[in-house]
Amino acid sequence: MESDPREGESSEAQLLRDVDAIRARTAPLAPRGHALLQVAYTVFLAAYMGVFAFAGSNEAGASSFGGLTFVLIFPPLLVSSGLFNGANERFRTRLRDPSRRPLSLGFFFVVLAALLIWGLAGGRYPWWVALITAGLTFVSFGIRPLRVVLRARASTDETLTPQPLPVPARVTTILIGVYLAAVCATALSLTVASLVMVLGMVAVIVAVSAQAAPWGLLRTGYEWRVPQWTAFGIAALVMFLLAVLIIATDIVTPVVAVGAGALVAVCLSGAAFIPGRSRGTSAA
Amino acid sequence: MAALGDDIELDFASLRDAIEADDSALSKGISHLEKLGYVKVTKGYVGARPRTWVRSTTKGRRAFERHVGALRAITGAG
Repeated sequence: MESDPREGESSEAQLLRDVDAIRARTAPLAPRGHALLQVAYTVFLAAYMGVFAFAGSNEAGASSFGGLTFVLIFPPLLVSSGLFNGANERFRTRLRDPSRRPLSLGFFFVVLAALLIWGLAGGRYPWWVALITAGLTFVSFGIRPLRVVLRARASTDETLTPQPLPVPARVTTILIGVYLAAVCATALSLTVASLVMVLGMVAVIVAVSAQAAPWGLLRTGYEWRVPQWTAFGIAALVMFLLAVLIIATDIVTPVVAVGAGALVAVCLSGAAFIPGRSRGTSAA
Repeated sequence: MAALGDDIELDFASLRDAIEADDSALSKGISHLEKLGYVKVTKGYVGARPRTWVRSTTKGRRAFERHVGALRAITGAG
């Protein structure tokens, strides 16, 4: 652990030299890959908060807040938490979890509580509050990882080889698609959609709790790479957009809802067969 | 502590390679620092294998900076 002393060098000087050497060795280990994951998740979270806030705005009807909107936007959030926790495990160097920063977390919950209380009390606000909410969410959690992404150089290590997803992760990916698709397709019937959502939530909780199971959400998130994350991002975008359209327009018919569900199912089911994580852990 | 910068976590293997120590010495060191509240340890899984991540705490970074400051004062390195 300690370097060899140089002639005439005091032990204190040797220790200082060791400190500099260690810092030089760890400087290239910037957690760029993990920071990218955090930025992506923050964008997702910001979109969620934006739609959540939009549901309580002047644009929304009385039934949208906490009803259909929640049914559409909560399942992706719930599923994503397990997946992202699993993906976290891939990185040898990681940024400290921003949700553990008291200020960021406190701010997030204050905004969430304020919107919830305001909405439940029947209050309304301009639609652009939703944009501000989304922006503030990103600033709270995304600025630091974004700085790391912009500062650190991308790894040029091309020795990682894409491999097909393991069968359990593939099955779980397809089932995630089926669940989210079912929520979309039944979105116009609050009762049915709520039932689908709750039944799916039970399955998700089981899948998150099974930490070491190869079919669990953590392991599935660990196995996912860009194609699967892209498909999940598209699926979440479709669901959030469907929620916004239901709130703000009358164009969402049962055919549109089923079509959105089909798109979600195709995205995730197709991505399940695209080569995923390379064998071995990401060095970033 | 030199390897654990502000706001990052290193896994056990990366930390071991950075300070060029062996597993046993590093484990003992981490346990000692954790007891002092200088580092926090997070356990997780890589696939099916358990893994350990280590990060410094504010208390640990301050103590380390004080220590480095004292070393510099002794050596006159400023």
